[in-house]
Amino acid sequence: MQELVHQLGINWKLLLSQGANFLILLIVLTLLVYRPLAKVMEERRKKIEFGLVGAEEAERRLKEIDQLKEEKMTEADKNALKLISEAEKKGQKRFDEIIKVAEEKADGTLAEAARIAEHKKQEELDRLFEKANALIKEAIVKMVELDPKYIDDKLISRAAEVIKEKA
Amino acid sequence: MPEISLKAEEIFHIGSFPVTNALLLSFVSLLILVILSFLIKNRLKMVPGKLQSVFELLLEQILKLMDSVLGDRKLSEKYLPIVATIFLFIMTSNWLGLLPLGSIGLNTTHQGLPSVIPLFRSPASDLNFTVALAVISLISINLLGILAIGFKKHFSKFFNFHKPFPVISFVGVLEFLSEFVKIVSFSFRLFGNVFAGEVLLVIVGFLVPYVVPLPFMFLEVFVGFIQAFIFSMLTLVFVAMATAKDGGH
Repeated sequence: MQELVHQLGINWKLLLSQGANFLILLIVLTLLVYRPLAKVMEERRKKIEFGLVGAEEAERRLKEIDQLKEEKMTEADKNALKLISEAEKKGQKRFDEIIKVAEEKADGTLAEAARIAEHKKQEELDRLFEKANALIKEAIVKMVELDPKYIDDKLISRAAEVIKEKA
Repeated sequence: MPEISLKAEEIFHIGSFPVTNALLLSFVSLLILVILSFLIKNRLKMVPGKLQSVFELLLEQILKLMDSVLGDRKLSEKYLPIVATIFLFIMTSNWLGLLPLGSIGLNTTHQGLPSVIPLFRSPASDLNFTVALAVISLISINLLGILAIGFKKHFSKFFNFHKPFPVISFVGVLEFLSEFVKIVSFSFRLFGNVFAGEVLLVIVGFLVPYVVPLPFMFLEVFVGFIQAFIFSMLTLVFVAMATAKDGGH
């Protein structure tokens, strides 16, 4: 047995040395590689998990916001249409009022103009009557100058009345 | 043709302690892995660099593989150090043993003829390395088994006096013997494969020095990986069996 061990080159000192090499490596790798790497990988995994959960939450909230936006937009459209309709109605009402006021003003202006025209006409007629009266009087005076016994004030007044009625 | 020796050659002595070429390369492997560990530890970031990414990828793959055997990520993380260290140490040693550093050596005479003792030799082609790893693996398996299910329950599979008494006890004795057989099985499998690869490369390199050894080199790269994988996976499976609450049946 000892011969076999010798032939195979097994030496307890070398055996222990190789074992020690392995144990040193085991300790070094455990302390410097496995544990720190496992810690970093776990932290990274947690961060990724947190990020993914956050992203899902953000996506869900974005969808909610989009839905809310759609609802608000629809509501805003409805409100806008309602406002436009109300504005049109108000505008129409105001237009009608303005037209009515304008017509009333126009009627008033026309009435005033008619009144003024009537007044002017009356003034002209009065002036014409006076002139006619004066002309008749002058004509009669001239006739009377030719023959004074024909002067008849009563007749003159009656003639002036007739002219006034005809005017 | 270079001399093919079953034993690792002694390079020098430190006092009465012999330093072989296999031990030297094993130490170089250790040194490289320790330096890499320090580099990783010092440059550890949340956003990994290249080296950290490689190690993270490697550990993640090993953990996935362990999950498929143990069925629990927590258990995988618990037993990761022993399994991953076995894998990394054997693979690094095997691959470093393939580097053409065997041609660098010390001139000596053997049976009156000039000979060259290579400065580096693949550690797994020395039984001291493989037996040491096999013993550590077996001790770890039993220790982890005791820690997981308790001393009494763990050893009850070896020393069982329940009925039917002779059959169960005999099976227990066989189980106990198989623990020692595992050392032989673990160590000689790795030694045999790596040593055979070294011999193959030496012979092919001697017969046809150029180009022809290249495919064999690639084969040995693959063998180096596979043997490391087998050793660590067997350790994992035995750990899983030893730590299972129902006795791993």
